[in-house]
Amino acid sequence: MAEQYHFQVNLGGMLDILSNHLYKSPDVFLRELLQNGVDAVTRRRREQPGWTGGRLTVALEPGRRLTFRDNGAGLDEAEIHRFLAVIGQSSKTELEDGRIPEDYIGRFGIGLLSCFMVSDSIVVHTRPAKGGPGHCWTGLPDGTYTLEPLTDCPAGTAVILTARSGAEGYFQREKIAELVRYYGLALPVPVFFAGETAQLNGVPEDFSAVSRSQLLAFGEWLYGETFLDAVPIQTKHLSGVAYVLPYATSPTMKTGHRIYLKQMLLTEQGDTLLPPWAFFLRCFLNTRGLRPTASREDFYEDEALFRARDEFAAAVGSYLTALRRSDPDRLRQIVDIHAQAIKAMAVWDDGLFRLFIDYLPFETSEGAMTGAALKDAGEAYYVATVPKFKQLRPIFMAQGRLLICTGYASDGELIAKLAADFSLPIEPLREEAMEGVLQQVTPEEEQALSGLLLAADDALSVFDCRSEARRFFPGELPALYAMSDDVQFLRQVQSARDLSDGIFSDALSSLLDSVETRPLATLYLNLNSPVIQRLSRVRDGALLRGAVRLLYVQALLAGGHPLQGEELRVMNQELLGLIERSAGSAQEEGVR
Amino acid sequence: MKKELFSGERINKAILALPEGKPRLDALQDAVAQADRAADPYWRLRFRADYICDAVYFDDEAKILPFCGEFFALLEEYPGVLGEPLEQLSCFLVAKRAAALCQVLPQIPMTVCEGFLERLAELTRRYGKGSRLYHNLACEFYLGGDLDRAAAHFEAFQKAKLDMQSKCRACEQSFMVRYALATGDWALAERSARPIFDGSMTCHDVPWDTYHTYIEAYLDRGEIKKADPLVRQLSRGGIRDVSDTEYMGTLLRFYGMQNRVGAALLQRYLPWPLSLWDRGRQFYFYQGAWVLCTAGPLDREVTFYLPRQFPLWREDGRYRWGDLADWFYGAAADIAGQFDRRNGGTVYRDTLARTERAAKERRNHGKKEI
Repeated sequence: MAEQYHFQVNLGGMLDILSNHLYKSPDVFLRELLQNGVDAVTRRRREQPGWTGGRLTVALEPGRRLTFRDNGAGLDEAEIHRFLAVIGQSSKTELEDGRIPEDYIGRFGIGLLSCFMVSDSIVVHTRPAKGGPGHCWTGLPDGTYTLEPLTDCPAGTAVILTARSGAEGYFQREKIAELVRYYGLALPVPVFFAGETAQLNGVPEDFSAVSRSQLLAFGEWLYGETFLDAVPIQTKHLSGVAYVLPYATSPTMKTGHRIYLKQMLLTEQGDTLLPPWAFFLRCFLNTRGLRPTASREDFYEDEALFRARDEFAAAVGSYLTALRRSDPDRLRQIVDIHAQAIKAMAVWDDGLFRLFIDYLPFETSEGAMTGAALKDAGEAYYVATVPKFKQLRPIFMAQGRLLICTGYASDGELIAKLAADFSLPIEPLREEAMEGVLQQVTPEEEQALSGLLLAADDALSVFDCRSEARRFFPGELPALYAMSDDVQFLRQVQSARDLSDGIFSDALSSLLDSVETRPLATLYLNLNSPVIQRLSRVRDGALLRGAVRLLYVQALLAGGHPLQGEELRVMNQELLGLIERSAGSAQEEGVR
Repeated sequence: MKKELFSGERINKAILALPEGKPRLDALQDAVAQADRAADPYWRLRFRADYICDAVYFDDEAKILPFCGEFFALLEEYPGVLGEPLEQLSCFLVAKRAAALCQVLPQIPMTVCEGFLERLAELTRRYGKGSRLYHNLACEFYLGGDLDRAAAHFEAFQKAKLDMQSKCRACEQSFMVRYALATGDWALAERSARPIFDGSMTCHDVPWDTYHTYIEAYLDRGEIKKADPLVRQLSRGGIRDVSDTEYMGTLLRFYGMQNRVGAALLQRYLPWPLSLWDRGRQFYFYQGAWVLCTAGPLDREVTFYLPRQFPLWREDGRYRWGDLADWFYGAAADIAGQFDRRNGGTVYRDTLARTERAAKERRNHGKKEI
């Protein structure tokens, strides 16, 4: 049988890891004190039904010492040994039906250690409210502790911290007040400075009962910002308010939510709880029934969290639905500023889609158009990339056809849904549709152009491009370059290979060599263009070749495609050739 | 007309305001072109590095190859222009992405793949960090054909210290699961997967990547019931864009093994692999699509609208399941062959053979749970 060994734990090192690496900032020591205090009060309320006197106080010797006191349940000697001396043991792990009681905040029994981030010792004076002697427990960061009897000790617990060198800033009145408001604003137990009557925390229990102006005033006080609107959130798992930011923002910007778990601040990041589109909101939310992670800085992703997220989406959705009836101007204002977030929301929610689609703007060949305008616009096509849209826009404009750009987030889904739900003749621009935009020429015209097309194919083969004759508007546009995504990628690969050397050049060459049939781009020559009409009559092969190559380069530039080395060389060479020809002709004229 | 001057800062700010994904990638491509036109070496490098960083998450990973090549060519031309530590950070980023590309592009010859890994190793030596990342990527690469070398790198990976160049902890953990399942070490896989399955380790790719790996492994063993909860999770959050094509393939395989026909899914997601250059992701999709297409009677016709670039495309949208199955199997086998030829092993063909065997056994058992 294999021998069994025990590994050893360096307690001092463990304490260092827990207190200095588990938490993101020393600030959390106050959160842990608040949490323990509230849980002690909660425990006393459970043990002594009818007792309602819970309060937390902070006494300060500025820059030196802090005494954090609760008048909760307190601990007896056995509990001190069990709960203050064993990491992972918490006085809150008495299970009810196999679960931690809902009104307890903490659960891991390691929170008190965070005090070592600001203090070299933790002194706890405690006496059980149910009766019994008081004790003084002194814990040190090396993992040792002492326990002495204490005669003069009120019921409850006092934690006494002495400022570590460098942590004096945490022992200042302003800092403590700020941290209490930050972490404990929503706590159900009042917090005071010792000997004072002004409460440091406290917010409404039910936000749906608070008027809009009061909510906005609260938001201004809390965040120092004037918000566009305030959406009260009151659901099974959530209670609070979602403020609509008065300026456009993006998903990557830090929004600065305040998300509490059972009234204690858990995180400023909404990523886990809030849907991705909530970036236009700044939320003050208290949560219930959700599980925190071990560091108590985020939530576990479980069914309750998914339900809470759905509840949030539903609450925002119903508020905005009601707003359409009660204050459409405000709704329009919100949409104007936050179209992007609302679009993201509308993709996933049919109700919101129907509510907002008329207001939402889309980029089209005729400028920005709302969903309502598109409903009346008749036939339209959409393209999924911005460069393609830019390339085709002038053609669609000249032909009086409508082209919608769906290259932006959510636009593709919304336009497709708009077309489907309202039976609108709006379709993706497929190759077949391009046939309508770029009209076929007649066989006779094709025949007349054959010389030009042959010369063009020959001149363009080096660029993996072929030519086709079409008629399209505007007539001033002699040629249109069109390429598939594959052609575009291979152009990039080729361009990068020209620039690179060594292994990258080899890798890019391998990729190019692996393509059995190179996809070709197309240069559409516009028979409506006087330039193309004139070129169709030219018989000088060299002139045709040069002209086609210049048309090709010009079409690339018009489409926003960067020129590659060979194309730049061709442009220079052909331009010089044309200048020489013109100069030669002028000279001959002069001689004559 | 007043000519607008190029301002990388202004463009960068505008890009950061865009949502992640396609809009930002399009904007970054445009920014690269603008910086090239302005011949601004700093932004030419910077926008390329940013594009490489983002594209891996939201687009066809293979498309970053030209950007990687251009990045190092430009860096050689303008050394020091990015300044430390951005240069160091970008070099590692681009080198690691390039090394990872070997796992998705079998066209890249073995010598070049090893050259990419050596470039990363050289950076590791130069800067005295990144060793864990190097062994991680080398192990993943050799898992495709040389399990002994993969094992050596895995051991070195475990011994190497974490540093700022290491992959994120969730990605590392997911890699350990992949390695364990690839080598048949289920105990290690379960240990490694625990913090992922309990939700304490997540990132953009995790847990989805782990679900995908586990589902494939369960399906290889015919354990449909065990795969089921992971499939539900994966389908709920893991199918986001074209970079999740292989996850969709895994779902198709699962539905196929349940004898569930998923014509709608196939119709909806087939454009993804068809648009990809990334052969690794295509492989899993085509493999899954093949299992799905063999779930019902092969001579039955189905009508749906597949993209035009699909080689069997028909205007009337009518296809025989058997024809589709043959095409998907052929495509998957072709990719498996490319990888195995390059890697000098049989890993991909073995994977396909396992899939084939599991599907066959499943069909023989009918709908009875194994």
